[in-house]
Amino acid sequence: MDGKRHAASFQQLEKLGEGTYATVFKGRNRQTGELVALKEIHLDSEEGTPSTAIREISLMKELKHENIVALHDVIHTENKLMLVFEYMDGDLKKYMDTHGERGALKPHVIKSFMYQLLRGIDFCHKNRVLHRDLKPQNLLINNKGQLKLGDFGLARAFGIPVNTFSNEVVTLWYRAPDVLLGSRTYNTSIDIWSAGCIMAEMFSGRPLFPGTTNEDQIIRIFRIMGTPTERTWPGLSQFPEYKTTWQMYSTQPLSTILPQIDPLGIDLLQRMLQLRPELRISAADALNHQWFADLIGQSGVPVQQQSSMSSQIPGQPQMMPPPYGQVPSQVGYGGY
Amino acid sequence: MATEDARYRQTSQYQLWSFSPAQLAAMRETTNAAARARIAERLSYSQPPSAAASSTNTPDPSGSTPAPGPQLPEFLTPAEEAQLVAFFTSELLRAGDHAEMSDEIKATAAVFFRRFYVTNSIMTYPPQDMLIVALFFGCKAEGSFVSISEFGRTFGKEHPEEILAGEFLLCQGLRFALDVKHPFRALRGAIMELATLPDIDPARLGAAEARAREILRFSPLITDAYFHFTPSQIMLAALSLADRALAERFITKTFHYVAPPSAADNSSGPGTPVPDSGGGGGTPAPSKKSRSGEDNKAEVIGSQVRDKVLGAIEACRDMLSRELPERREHWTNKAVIKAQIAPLRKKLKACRDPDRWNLVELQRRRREQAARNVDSEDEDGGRSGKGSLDADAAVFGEPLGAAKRRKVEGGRDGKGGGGLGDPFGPPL
Repeated sequence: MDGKRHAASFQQLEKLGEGTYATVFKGRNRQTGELVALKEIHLDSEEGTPSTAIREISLMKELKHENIVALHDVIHTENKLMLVFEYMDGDLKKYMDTHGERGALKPHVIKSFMYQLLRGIDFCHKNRVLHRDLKPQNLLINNKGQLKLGDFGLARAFGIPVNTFSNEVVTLWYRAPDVLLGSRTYNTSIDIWSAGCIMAEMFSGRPLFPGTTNEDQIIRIFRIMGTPTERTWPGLSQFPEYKTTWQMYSTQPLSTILPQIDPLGIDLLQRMLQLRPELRISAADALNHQWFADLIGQSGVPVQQQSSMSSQIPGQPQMMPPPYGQVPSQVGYGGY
Repeated sequence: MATEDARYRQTSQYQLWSFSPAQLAAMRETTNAAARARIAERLSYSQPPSAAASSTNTPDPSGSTPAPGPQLPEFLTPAEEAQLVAFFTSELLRAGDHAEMSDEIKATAAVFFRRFYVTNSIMTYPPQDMLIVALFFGCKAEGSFVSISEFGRTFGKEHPEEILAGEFLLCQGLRFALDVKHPFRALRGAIMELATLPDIDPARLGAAEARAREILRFSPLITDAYFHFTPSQIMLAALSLADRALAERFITKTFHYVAPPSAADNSSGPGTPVPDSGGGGGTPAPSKKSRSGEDNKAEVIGSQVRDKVLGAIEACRDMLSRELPERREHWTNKAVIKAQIAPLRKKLKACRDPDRWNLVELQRRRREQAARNVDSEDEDGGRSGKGSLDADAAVFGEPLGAAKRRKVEGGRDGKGGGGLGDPFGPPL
């Protein structure tokens, strides 16, 4: 069809990884030379276009934000479905592995990444979308130091009431306690919990709660955050996964678990990692937290990206991580 | 932070699928003309050169003007197409009822169906098949998963491919804008707000909500309301039809406190999808600012915005009132169908596109073509535009000259036609 782009408009380069339901390739627009990420979706000849793909396309068409990976194009041929995303150099997991000090990143890098992460989350939530699967592998990074949310295969729009969601979402390690306890009425606060876990991991280089099973995940959280009771969490005993046999742990101060974080950072983290979802800070409020004051201070008016100052992006004026191009191997991420 | 209004203006519903009545009419005319030209061309090429044409009526070998000989059928006019689309939308809603689908799924499917037939003629792709495809795809888009075999059984389609064959077409026709914003949730919100007022009779409120919901289930879906109005305008128009005083009460309540900057900027702009009489394209989202010294000014500006919104709501109300839920009976009435619909369907049968009418067959041919192209794809990728025309011609057996000419004519499939700039916004 005239004017429409075709699969052949893109030169397929190396494989970047496997997404949740697709294979991701690096690609190049033959006309412009622009790099892209091609997410090739395995078409199920039985049921037609997979619903995860439909959900992702549907949401990504609506979510246009500098901290959300942009969907440029959808190419649907008789035999395959291809989503064309903007190209990102890698993901946060990979970034921590290659740039971190045993996985741990520099504080000013973390602050910039957290700010961008929360901006992306805030935008989703304002547009009534829950990501539901935030984890370092799904946060894409480019060599300008920009961070963008990717892989919306599990995301979904929400409205009122929000009570029919499956509780089988979100990778275990970043999963909120209320979801682990079997809540089916969760909301935006589940993404905030994940963001808190990711912040801690960027500081320490290790996942904060690396559980192996649902039960183990709950216990690992309680060991640090303290075992809740009906008194500290009214309604707790109503959760499907509530157990009277939980061992009672006392709350550990996060500052002793994560001594590398400054007091303001600990305060923000504490507000994100609240066991009770209704006490968790919102993305919008988190963005206004004092911890970010030294970031925003210099750019109250967001600096639009100017090609002459390519590394200067809103909210992260001081930071300039090493260019991703120097990393030897780029393969093995699939955060689209 | 962005207001609800600003956010709505970022949606694909606004950016890709909102038009003024004049724009929409122009697009439909273009679609209709393109389909006529294509089908006429196709039919005249497939004419046996002898027979009916006899010696005096030789088809023009250049193919530039397919001779309107006696062989060519009478085509549907844009108005007739619109009437058939409305009829099949009613059929779609009935099928959705039959399958006990949710209001959102039925509404999304209906909007998909009507969007598809803005840039595709009903003479090109079969509406009775596409309505089933739209329902199936509507289920997926609304996150309600049904297996294709179960779905097929409900609608008497034994072979899944009868449904799946159209999915690709539909997707493309929708330009992958799959998120449809409906007025149902807005209605619930308005009712909840009204319920907080001290002097509102709950029984009256309940009746108004029920009636408004009944209207939303039908009237905006079978008319062009979704193309011209925002979900909250549609909601308020429906509420106004159900209980005018209540709707006015809600509007007054909302705009009393309106913050001037958030609402004032929404009345202009080329893409404002509101009829001329209306003006304000904004979603009247209540933004409750605390009362301050600027209150009087806010109220003055607020009242101006309110008047604009009221104009839009009146226009929408007008549109909905022509297809109130009682009209469901009209569209299934045997006498009406016999007198109005049957003749159109007969006409359609005679003038439909022989190459595209059977979706399963069409998909099979396209797949074969795609498979044949796989080998050459890598080397000639740069010439994809030409490649696609060749492919089209190969699939449909048209002479290359005809395909090229069609390209020159432009406005094919309604794109860029009628001097509208690009009515779809930027390319995907």
